[in-house]
Amino acid sequence: MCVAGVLAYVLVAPVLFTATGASSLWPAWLVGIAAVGLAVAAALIAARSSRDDLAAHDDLILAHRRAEERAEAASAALDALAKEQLPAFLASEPAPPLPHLPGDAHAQARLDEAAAMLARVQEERVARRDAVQVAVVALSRKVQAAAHRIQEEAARMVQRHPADPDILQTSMRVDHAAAQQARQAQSLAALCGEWPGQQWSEPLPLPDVVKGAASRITAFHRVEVSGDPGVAVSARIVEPLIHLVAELLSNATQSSPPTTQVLVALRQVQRGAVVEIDDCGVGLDLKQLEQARDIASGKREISITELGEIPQTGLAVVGTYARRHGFRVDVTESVYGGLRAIVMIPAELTEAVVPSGMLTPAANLPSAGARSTGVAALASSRTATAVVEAPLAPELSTAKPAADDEWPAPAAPDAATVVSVEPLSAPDDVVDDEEETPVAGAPVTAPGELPLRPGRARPEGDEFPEPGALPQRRSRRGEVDVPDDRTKSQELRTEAPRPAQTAEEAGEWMGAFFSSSEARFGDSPDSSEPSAGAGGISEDR
Amino acid sequence: MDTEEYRDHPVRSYVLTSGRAHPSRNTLRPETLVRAVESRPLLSTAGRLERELAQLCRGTLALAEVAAYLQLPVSLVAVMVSDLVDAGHLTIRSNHQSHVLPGKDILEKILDGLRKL
Repeated sequence: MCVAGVLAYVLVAPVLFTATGASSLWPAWLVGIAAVGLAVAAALIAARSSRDDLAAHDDLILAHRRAEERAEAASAALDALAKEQLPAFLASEPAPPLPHLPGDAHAQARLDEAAAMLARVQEERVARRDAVQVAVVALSRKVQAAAHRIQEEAARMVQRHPADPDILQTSMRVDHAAAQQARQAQSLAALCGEWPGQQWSEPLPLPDVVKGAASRITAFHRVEVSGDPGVAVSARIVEPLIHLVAELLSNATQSSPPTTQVLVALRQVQRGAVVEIDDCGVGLDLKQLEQARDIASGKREISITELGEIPQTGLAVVGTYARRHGFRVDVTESVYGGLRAIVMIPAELTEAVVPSGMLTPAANLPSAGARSTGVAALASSRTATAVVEAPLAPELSTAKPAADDEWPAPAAPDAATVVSVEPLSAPDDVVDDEEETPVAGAPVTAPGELPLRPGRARPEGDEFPEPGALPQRRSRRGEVDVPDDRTKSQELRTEAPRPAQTAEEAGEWMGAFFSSSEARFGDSPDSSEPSAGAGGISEDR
Repeated sequence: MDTEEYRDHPVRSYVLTSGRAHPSRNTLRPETLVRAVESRPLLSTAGRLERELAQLCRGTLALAEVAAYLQLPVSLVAVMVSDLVDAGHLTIRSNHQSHVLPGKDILEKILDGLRKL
């Protein structure tokens, strides 16, 4: 205001002075008054306008503050969208609610739109992922089934040519390739959260689990198993565990020099059974090791969509099974320099079994009994039965003493007693019933016995109900002594072992065997089963 | 034979013999008689199958019979038996007489028997 007054004075004064300078009619004080008046007027005007300015300024500040608040809210909402919602959507987790934007209907509407859109995108993504997984699982099942079919054909090929090593060699190669294919397919299915396609109906001793796992990797011959703690794993986790160990073995063989062995140690601990897999590679650095540990233990889940360009399925599959079945898996540095993978199978998933080192004494008892039966039955032409039973007993007690109460006790006497009843049709029925009962009662038991080619119970079960099989067998017995004996041994052999082809072969060869060795056995009597059979024949002759 | 039910097993044949299909000795025939050497029992580290095999052979058995009881192909068992023979756990009963042709009467009886099957 003062500035305005002075300014007005400065402007007005010269004019007044020049105007009044000549005549001096205008006294100087008038000039002063005019100047002051002007100045006051100017000041008044300025004051009013500045008051207006102030009000406008306050308005502006207010508006600015509101705008700032809105902007802050909007930016917070944007932050929430970008930092919380989007990652949550990406991780397919439930997203936190978006912040509300009061007083900004427009922005709120946009935000709601964005949220709705995101939700829709997520739904679609989940749906698409599910669809892809379903398709992947279906396809991998097909591939797996095809691989198993190849394995079956390879096995049949060997069945058809049981004594040809070249065929066996080819079959082995085909089988091996198909087994790996089946494993890869099964890995895909497992990563999609599906159960493995294969299932086994019998518990499997731990060493066989590792051997089964080795069957599925390329360098199976580098796997060296030590220790047999006498533990079998329950039927329902046989396949998951085989697959898990196979993936660990595969990693171990691939990450160590091809000339080194992969050492697998088996042991029993208080809380279950442990499989330790050591490789002699170079190991991993700490960070990688940490990652591997997280994935293998199942802590970090890896879905099939995260595998990347060079898929590393092994540990992800391991983690999947660890989560699902409660195996505890850890990966640490191995004392051999590479990695050591440790798998702990909880005790509730294991069953006791005779360790292989204990087999001989345990197996002595039943087979000795059968042996004596065989000797006693020598003259009564029941040798063949004894021959069959003798090998059966050790087999059964071999893999599964736990089954003792179920299998051998009922089945063995049944077979012996019923067979000793001479050719009758009525006892045949008894045979059917009595043989079937233990078989049906313990379907798991009998097949579990054989470390190889399980399913002894089933072939018998399959065979006995056949109407023709048994009566024929019985009726022929009484007719001719000598061929009968041979027939019987042949039949019984057909009965016990699974590959009929092999048994027939055995029968045919036995003919040659008897004729060629008969002379020898004639002079030097031998107490062993086949020669006992031969002895029976020579007696008959 | 193809109608026979095929049964799978987790442990494949090639693992049992480390991938070998040819026995270390070529004298093994399906009719070859093998017998366990009682003075050389298997070590406790031996696998289940080897143990079972040795168990079977405590009485003299033909290779084909062993295979039948183990439900394995003869050719596969030949490899395993051959290994066990090499290691001294099994012996092969000398079957030099297998080249002697059997008598005609025996052949006829066998034929009779086969026809009755």
